[in-house]
Amino acid sequence: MNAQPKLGVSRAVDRAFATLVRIWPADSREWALAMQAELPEIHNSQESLQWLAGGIMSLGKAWWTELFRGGNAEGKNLTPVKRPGALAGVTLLAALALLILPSAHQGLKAVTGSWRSNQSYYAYHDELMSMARDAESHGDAKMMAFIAMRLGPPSDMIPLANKAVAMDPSLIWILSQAHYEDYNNPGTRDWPAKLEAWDPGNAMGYMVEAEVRQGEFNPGFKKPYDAIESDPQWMEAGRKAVEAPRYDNYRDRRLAFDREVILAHGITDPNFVAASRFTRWPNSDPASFYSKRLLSEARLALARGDKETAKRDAWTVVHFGELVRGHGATDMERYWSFQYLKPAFEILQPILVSEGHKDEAAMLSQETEAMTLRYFAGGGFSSWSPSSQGWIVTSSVGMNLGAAFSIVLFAVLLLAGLWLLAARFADDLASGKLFRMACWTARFAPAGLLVSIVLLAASYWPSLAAIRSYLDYPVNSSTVRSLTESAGAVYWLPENFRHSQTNSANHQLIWLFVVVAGLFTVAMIVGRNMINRAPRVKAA
Amino acid sequence: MTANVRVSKQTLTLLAALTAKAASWHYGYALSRQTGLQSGTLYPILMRLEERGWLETQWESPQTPEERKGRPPRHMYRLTAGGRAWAMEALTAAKSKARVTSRAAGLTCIGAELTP
Repeated sequence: MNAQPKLGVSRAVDRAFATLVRIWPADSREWALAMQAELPEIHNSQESLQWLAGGIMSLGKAWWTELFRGGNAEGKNLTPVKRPGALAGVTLLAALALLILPSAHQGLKAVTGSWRSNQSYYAYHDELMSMARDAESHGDAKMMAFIAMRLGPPSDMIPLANKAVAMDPSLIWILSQAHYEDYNNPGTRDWPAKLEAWDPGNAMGYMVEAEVRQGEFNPGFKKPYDAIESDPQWMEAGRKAVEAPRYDNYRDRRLAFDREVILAHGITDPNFVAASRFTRWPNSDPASFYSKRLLSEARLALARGDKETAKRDAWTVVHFGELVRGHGATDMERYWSFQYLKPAFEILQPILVSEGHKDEAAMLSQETEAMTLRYFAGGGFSSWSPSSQGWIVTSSVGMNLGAAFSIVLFAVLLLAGLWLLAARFADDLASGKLFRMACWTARFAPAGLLVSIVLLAASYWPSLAAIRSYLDYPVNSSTVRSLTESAGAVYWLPENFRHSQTNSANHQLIWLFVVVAGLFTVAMIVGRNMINRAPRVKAA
Repeated sequence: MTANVRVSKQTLTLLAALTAKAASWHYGYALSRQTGLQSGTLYPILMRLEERGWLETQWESPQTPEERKGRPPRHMYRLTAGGRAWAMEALTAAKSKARVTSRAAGLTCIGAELTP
């Protein structure tokens, strides 16, 4: 039993055990000291390491007990608990004051709204219907149109849109925005004719006509999707769209209209404001299939030496593609336009060369190359620019974590506050594990709340700036892109959670969230035990 | 009486060691060697037994500096009267169960031998 010179391993184990004792929950630290006191009896390095491993396991169990049972089960020998002081109060007030910041309270509203929307497509239905009834009672056609473009169920949306248009015929264009909710509803059958009569020559009306026809032809998509290609009525709508002199998806009109209503009614819910970005674009299939058919005929004509027919058909497709590219205004439409333009250019290039128009052919070649680089070589279309991806993901994680922790911490603070308040009047509530937990929560949760709200406000700030820019300045491409990206930031994390079961690539994000939440929990436990550290017990 | 503590095989092993010399104080490392239990298993069981009042603990009494030779006082354990009664009950129940199990196992073996 004589003390022997310590080996390197034993010294390391001694030091590790000293650390173990320091971070051991104060209420059961005596057991850590008990394990430590056995170390001089162990003379084998391997056994020392095993003893240390056992100490670490026991520490884990002690933490578990501390976290979920508030110390040892019988509540014996508990260290005196500190009640929350002035610092906790000031921190809580500072955290609540931060909520006055628009990026904090609107961020909270936007993020919690995205959780609701993620749960159900019709999450806002009741609020929207209430607003619709109010608008109807005031004869406010614009507000009715605004709501119709956001309502989900066709049974509510279609009558509301029809009423709004009947009250104000200048709102006919909203039929193109609201229609996509239901392809096969008798209530929408006359909408294409109304759109075509109101805005003749716009391809949009014909594309809506094709969608309605698709709903009639293939209700519930019971037939194969491609079956529609054999329908002459559908293909005729595609022809009219491709040969139309204009293309306007009413995006600018809708953004301006939404802004007018939002400002007039003082709407502040970020989810309603950001919904403006959902400018409707039509199903491109009829135009796409008709274009393919035309280009196929052009190739056949070229093969039999009929250059004029080949040129006419290819230029028709180019004309439509240029219209969509020039007036489509969204990246998605530009992407579609290149799918028309690229094969058409490939047909036209050799014809132009053979006719001596080498400069024009070279220009088409350059255009084709640029399209390939921009949209086809990069792995397809993305509505976000590569430079934006980083901040969208970062701010989405930040604002969702900030909002989640803010809510959880506020709730536990409220419970702790109620307990402490009750303990002032009932002495038996002023002791025991729950009282200790309430004290601890009231002391440290305000700091967590402050950090969470700062994180939320900072992460949501770019999104708020995008919404303000939309409401304060004339609409341009940059505004729309910012609005799209800001909504993307709010919805990115909840969407990834929702799709995580079907998309294994997103599992890493789930783990990221789990790791962050786990680190936070461990930090809370370690912090709590370091702060509660009692002087080392002098045994005997 | 046994309802609140899970009487695992490891707990029974420890109880057997503690009841063998019920009146004596035991040290953690010695119990670990005697029972073959790792410290990560042994101490949580000791903690649970102590919480329920079945184990009494005590730090070694002060020794002379010569006796201590730089060693810290050690923690010692022994079963309380209630703990001894409960331990005996748990050990007896475990033995009966083991007998039944071994008898059942024997029958199974016989059955296996009879099966073509």
